[in-house]
Amino acid sequence: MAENVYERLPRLLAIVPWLSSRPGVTFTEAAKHFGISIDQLTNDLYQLVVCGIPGYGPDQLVDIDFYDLERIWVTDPQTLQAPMKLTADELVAMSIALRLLARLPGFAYRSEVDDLLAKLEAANIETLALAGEALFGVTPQIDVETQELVHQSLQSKTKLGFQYLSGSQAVSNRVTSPIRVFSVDDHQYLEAFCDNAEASRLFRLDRINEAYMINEPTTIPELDTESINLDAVNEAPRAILRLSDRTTWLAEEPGVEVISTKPLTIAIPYLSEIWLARWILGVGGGVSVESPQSLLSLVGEMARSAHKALADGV
Amino acid sequence: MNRGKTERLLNLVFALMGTGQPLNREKIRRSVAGYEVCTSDQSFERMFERDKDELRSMGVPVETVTNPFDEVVGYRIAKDRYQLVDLNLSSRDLELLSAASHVWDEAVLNNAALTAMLKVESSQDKSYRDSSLGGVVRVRAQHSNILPLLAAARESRVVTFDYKPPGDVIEKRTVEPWSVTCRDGHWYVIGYDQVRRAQRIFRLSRIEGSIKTTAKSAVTTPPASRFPEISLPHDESPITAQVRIRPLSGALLRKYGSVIESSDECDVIELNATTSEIIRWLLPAAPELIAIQPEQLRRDLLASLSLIASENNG
Repeated sequence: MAENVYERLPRLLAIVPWLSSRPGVTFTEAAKHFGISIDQLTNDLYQLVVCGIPGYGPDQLVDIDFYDLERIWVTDPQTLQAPMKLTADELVAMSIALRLLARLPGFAYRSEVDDLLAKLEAANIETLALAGEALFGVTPQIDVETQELVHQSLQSKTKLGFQYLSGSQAVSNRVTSPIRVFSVDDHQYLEAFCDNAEASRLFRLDRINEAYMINEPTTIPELDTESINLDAVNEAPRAILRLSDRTTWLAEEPGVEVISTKPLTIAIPYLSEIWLARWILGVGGGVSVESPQSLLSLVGEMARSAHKALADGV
Repeated sequence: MNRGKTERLLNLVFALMGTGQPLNREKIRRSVAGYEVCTSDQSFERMFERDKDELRSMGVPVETVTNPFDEVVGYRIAKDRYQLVDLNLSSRDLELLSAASHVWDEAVLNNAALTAMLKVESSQDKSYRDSSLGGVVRVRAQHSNILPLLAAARESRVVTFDYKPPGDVIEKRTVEPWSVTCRDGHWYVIGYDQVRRAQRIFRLSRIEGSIKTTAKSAVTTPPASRFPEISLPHDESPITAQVRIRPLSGALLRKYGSVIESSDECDVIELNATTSEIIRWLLPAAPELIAIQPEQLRRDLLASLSLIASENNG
């Protein structure tokens, strides 16, 4: 019952016009729509019918017939025939989300989104001046050409070839049948059936290099519905790393957990030891592996042998 | 208590929207149900001020009407400023809006997106949920400071907060925020630092506690693009380097450089960047490197490899 007035009042203001345009709607339907319990809805209705314009006589109160507790009819909504205009935050939330959807490669309704944004903007002109959507940026750093090629390939169901620059620094040439693109924050991922791996794979769009269209229809085996498990990282083993003063920033990386502050020690999940070893090399010093022992040996060995090769060479 | 307040606010909305003439304070106090509990002028003033502010913060356009002498004559809610006009939405539009309302999965704008959807649907006689378009875009902006920063940016207000740069002590910053942005999964506020008298970027996870929005207005005008590229200051100038590396390795080098020679045994990649950037791209691919020019770059890389080897000697 500790629901605050900021949640409750906007709902009460929205519920009246919603019910008005659905005469005879059931309690179950209405409660489900607003994400509340039947009890809460009943409470809301009892509260509404004692409110109205000053005078508070029978003709001045909101009039709703719901006393059989099954179906609801709004007889007199007083001044609440229409819902309230969108607030600045609501407009920002919707317009950014719509633009992100439309920008996603493979999205089929780009021009429909443009038309819809125009409608929303026209209806909320006054709020829009305050909305400042331009103040909130979630822009994937992916070159336009790659995005366009992935989009075309998904639209025309044509195979896509590219060079993939993996996180473990390996470079591979791939022939793929794109399935879909999705995004998390400012990263975009391509899910595609990869001819080389003969399985579905996830590719980060910002690591796709030199993409080109292959004039062949996509082939996606029907049984290959095993979706890629983004949560795999939650069950991944964790390495323990000790940081130095100049690498404290690593403690803030996503997925990293600080397990001790003196000396600063972190736990980091990993799926491949070689990937993590190269990542540690890339930090450029200031990271010592505590465990596992195999990772410690690998990092040490990679650094020593590379040093030897480059010191001897040329 | 809570119920009484919701009821009073609802009655205030009905009264201010139902009135032709603006209602003055005495009239509101006498006629709107809920204010009869006020035993003194001061307690009414306090209650009404707070109610008015809360309604406004929920997006209800409570207008203060003044006469030519700038004296307040009363208050009202103009229907055309309150009501969402019929948007003439197609079922495709509703499907797109529904997909957009799910983008903010648990993020700070999630509530705004959901209430926006409730309002839009209230003006329709049909509902549209469970879009097949949903779930492809997710934004996980969860810092509680995002909304107050966006509000401060759109109202050109000055904010203060405690900021802890990595490996440094907490310091109080006074900033005119311009925008909030996501880069590589991290969230930042960009703005003008009044003490340092320069544009700065702050990572939200390094802000301690809640920001405070001051009553002061910003003194500078934000740049035309509110997302200026702010790179960390460095004094290094770019160099040109050539790297000999085994085929299909060195993903970062290939992303930022260009292959100028290619054979079965090795590729030659040319890079133009600062030494520290190139070192950062070289290190993860250290085991596949064959030769590096210029000589100073090779020495710098060897120094980094020695450090890493000594830190991971086990």
